[in-house]
Amino acid sequence: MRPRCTKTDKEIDKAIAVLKKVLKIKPSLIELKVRLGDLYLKQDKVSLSQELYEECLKTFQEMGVKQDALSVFKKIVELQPRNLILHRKLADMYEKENMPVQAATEFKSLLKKAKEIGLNTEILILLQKIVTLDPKSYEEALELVQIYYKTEQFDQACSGSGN
Amino acid sequence: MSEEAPINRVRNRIEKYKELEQWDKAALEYQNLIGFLPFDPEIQKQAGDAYLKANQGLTAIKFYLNAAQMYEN
Repeated sequence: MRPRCTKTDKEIDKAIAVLKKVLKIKPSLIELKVRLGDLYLKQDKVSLSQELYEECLKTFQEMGVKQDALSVFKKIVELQPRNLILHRKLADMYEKENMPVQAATEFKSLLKKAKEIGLNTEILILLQKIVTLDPKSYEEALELVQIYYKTEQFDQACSGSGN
Repeated sequence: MSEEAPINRVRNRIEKYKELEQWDKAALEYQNLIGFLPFDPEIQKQAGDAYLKANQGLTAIKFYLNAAQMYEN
């Protein structure tokens, strides 16, 4: 969800102008570009915001600053909530970075979409991922066991998550 | 004889140094002005401008960032 703008556009414009000045003096302050993107977003200038976030993501990835890259990528995903490919990529990134709770949350959001669309194979894979990443996802674990029973995969049903 | 308010004295000195293009002195006076008006983003920005003109980029950044923060909040 986009942050609601509490300041006047004029004040945000002034903050943007000042940050641009700083970036002119020291372009390496990438985190300021992220802040600039946040400010554009407050003004609903989504494409400008996205452009900056993508630039920052690229730089963070090149620098190998994974946590910052993730945080910017999350912002990009939030700009395109219906883009399932981006959600999947974010979930994979969280998993790779050993952030199981965040990864499970993203996979749960993908699961919801997969159910809406009726992607049965994908649902199974996502449930397996969620249960493996977050063993306390009881609802998903139960759903997974039910699928195993339905498909007569009794061994996997007995082992719970199937892993 | 009327006594000039301290804040006005600072403002007058800033104007004088700006006219003389003595940016390092103007910048220092801006610091004094900020002592009187610590939460005015315009003054923070102007202090940044003065430091930038005095070739003190890093200090300018500090004041610009203060200004941006104040505009945002």
